[in-house]
Amino acid sequence: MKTDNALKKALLRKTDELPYGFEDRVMRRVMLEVERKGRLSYYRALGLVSFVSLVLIAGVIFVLNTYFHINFLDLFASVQLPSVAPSSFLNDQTRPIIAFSIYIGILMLFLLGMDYLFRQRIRKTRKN
Amino acid sequence: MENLSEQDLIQSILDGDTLAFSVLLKRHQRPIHALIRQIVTNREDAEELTQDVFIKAFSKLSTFKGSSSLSTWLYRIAWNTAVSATRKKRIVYPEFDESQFANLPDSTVDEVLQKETDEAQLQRLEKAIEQLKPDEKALITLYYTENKPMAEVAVILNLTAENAKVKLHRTRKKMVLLLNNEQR
Repeated sequence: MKTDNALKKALLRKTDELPYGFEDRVMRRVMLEVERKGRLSYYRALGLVSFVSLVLIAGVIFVLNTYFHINFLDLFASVQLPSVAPSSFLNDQTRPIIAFSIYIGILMLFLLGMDYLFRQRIRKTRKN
Repeated sequence: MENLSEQDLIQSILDGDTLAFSVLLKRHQRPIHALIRQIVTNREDAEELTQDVFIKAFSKLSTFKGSSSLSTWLYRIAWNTAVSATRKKRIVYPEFDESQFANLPDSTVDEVLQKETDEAQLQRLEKAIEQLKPDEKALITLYYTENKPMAEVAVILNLTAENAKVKLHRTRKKMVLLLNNEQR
């Protein structure tokens, strides 16, 4: 049967070459797949750590409540926060400190924003 | 890296050397594309599906146990990917009665498929191949153009060796029936 020359010839007529850049395109998709897998494993680890932390916190609360009779609901209910009127801390002495803190806060936000923008730009140029 | 064995390449990729995959890609892209091209016929779809095959292979490489060769494993992914793509298109394939198969002597089939042919006959054969079902196209592509032994073809198409032989026998007859249909 391997001597079916006519059939073989007809089949071979259709085997065309892969287009130029095929390998690059596949490797680019492979790299994206690697990135996706990395992100996925990061989120999985994050989820696992969060879950374990919650279980530990719940365990601690259970142990404290059951064996040491510490009721957190009662504990929180008994906490009284002092009422603070704005006039009590907004005076001539504190005003420059508050203004400076706001300035530092805005500066921090601006720098974080710039950092985010630059990181995005670098990531884009690397991808291209 | 080009000279590394396939097992070493797979180990490198699993250890995180993504670029080692390009060596595997270079080695296998042509035959995989050839198989898909026969099954899906459209050139752009074939390229897209070939890409999908290699991405799937990369993602599932850790599941490759080495019970068959890497080439067989890749062919299996290619076959499943291509056949899924054709299923979505709901193509109607020509069917023949059992009596038509039985009435066609093997000698006629041998004569039609083995003799030297002219351009017109080759074109008719091409058209007949296009009307075959995906599994029949895959079978003859692997057997005739990729020169795979029947046992390996059977593994790729998830058939027993005996069933693969019977299918090849019927496919050859079907080719002749399709050619006869066209000449009428």
